[in-house]
Amino acid sequence: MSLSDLAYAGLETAINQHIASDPGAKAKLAKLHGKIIAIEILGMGQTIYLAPGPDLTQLLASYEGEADCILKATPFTLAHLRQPLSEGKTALPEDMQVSGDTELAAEFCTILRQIKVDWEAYLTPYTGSLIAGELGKAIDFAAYWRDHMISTLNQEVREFLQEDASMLPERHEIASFGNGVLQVEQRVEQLAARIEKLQKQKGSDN
Amino acid sequence: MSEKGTTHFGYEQVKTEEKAERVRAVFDSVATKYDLMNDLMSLGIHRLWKRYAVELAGLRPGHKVLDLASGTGDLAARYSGIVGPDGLVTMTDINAAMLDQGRARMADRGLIGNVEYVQVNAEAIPFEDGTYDCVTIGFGLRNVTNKQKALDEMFRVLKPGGRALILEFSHPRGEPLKWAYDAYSFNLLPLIGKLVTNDEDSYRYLAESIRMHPDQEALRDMMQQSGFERCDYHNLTGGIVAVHRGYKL
Ligand SMILES: C[S@@+](CC[C@H](N)C(=O)[O-])C[C@H]1O[C@@H](n2cnc3c(N)ncnc32)[C@H](O)[C@@H]1O
Repeated sequence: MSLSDLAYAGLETAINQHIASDPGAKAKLAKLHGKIIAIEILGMGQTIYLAPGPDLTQLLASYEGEADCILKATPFTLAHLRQPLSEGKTALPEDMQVSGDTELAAEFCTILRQIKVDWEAYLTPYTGSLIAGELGKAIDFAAYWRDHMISTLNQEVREFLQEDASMLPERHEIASFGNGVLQVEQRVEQLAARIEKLQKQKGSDN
Repeated sequence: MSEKGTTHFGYEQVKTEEKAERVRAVFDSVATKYDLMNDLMSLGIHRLWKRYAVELAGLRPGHKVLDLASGTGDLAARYSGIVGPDGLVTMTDINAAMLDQGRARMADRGLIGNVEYVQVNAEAIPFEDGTYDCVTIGFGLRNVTNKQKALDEMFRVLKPGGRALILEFSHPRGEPLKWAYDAYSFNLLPLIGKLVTNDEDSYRYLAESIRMHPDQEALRDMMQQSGFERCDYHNLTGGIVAVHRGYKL
């Protein structure tokens, strides 16, 4: 199961939201402008390339050059970056393999610890069985859509289109569309949980 | 086929010299609300198309990239992030109002230092041969009067080994999609245009210019004619948009 373009876009938005809420981290990342950091997610056969910059840390699904450093980690290890660092430990988790510029890798991990991205939440849908992966995609799509519709249409359209508002869908209509999507998303999640349960049952029956 | 000395302006035939002027007028009228329109028109999907194109550009830190018809600079901003302080992004547009908007937006985002701004007509690029690692034009080629000339120019300013990338509306594959897309772009799109910019005609022009643009195969042939090698294209969203890529070897 590979990450879809949409998932990359979603993960990029999420990471940048975390960054935006931490000016210290944002400034640190701006200093890494011009570096490419690869994160190879073990167990998924997927590498994410990160290009930090002054405005945005971009996430690329492919990169033709050689990254400045490569971090190899399982989603579990990445998830643990959110835990406070115990005393005497370095920023790089012990079970993370690092190649290339290790100083850069450590610096980057320090920032990742600081911004506390919930990697697991973003990656778990892709690490399960194929069916869970497909559902994960659907959830991701629904979430992206909902956030996008609400943020883009609500704020900006309101500003620009006040006079013409009667001709456009009303805010509550957009919100109800968003809620509809949210409900579908919840139902898909419930369905995923049920399928998982059934699969487990089936597994223990055999 | 155009008659001699005339060219398409959407579905109208206009004198060749008139077209640039009229295209300019379209973008002058939409410049300030361009980003919002982009989001509404494509329901946000244009962001995914652009991300995809950026990956195909194969940029690396230190690269020099020329972005033609940059508009407000969505692509240029991403390039600037990747090429880093040692690279350079030349952000250009034929329209000064658009370029000003773009410059302001880039500065807002803190993208300074590795970006330069030049008013450029894609048909006559004012840079020397072999200057750039990558030349791109996103949703701009269909507005250019002499597309072959623009492709020749893109080829000329590339370094050997460099690549060109064209992101443009194209011709959707499959009848149902074509039908839905026509309904959308000829009815809904001008309506959105009217509501947001009070300028229905400009958006009707956009819809028409998309239909008049060469299809995937035709554009690839044109690239080859300009000297590009290893040309390929990737259809996005069922061919509503395509990314063409070619190398100067
Ligand atoms: C639809 S916008 C694309 C903006 C941006 N690249 C994007 O993807 O969002 C098209 C731009 O093409 C510009 N343009 C039209 N004719 C041109 C020409 N001959 N040379 C350069 N730019 C041109 C317009 O001024 C306008 O800003």
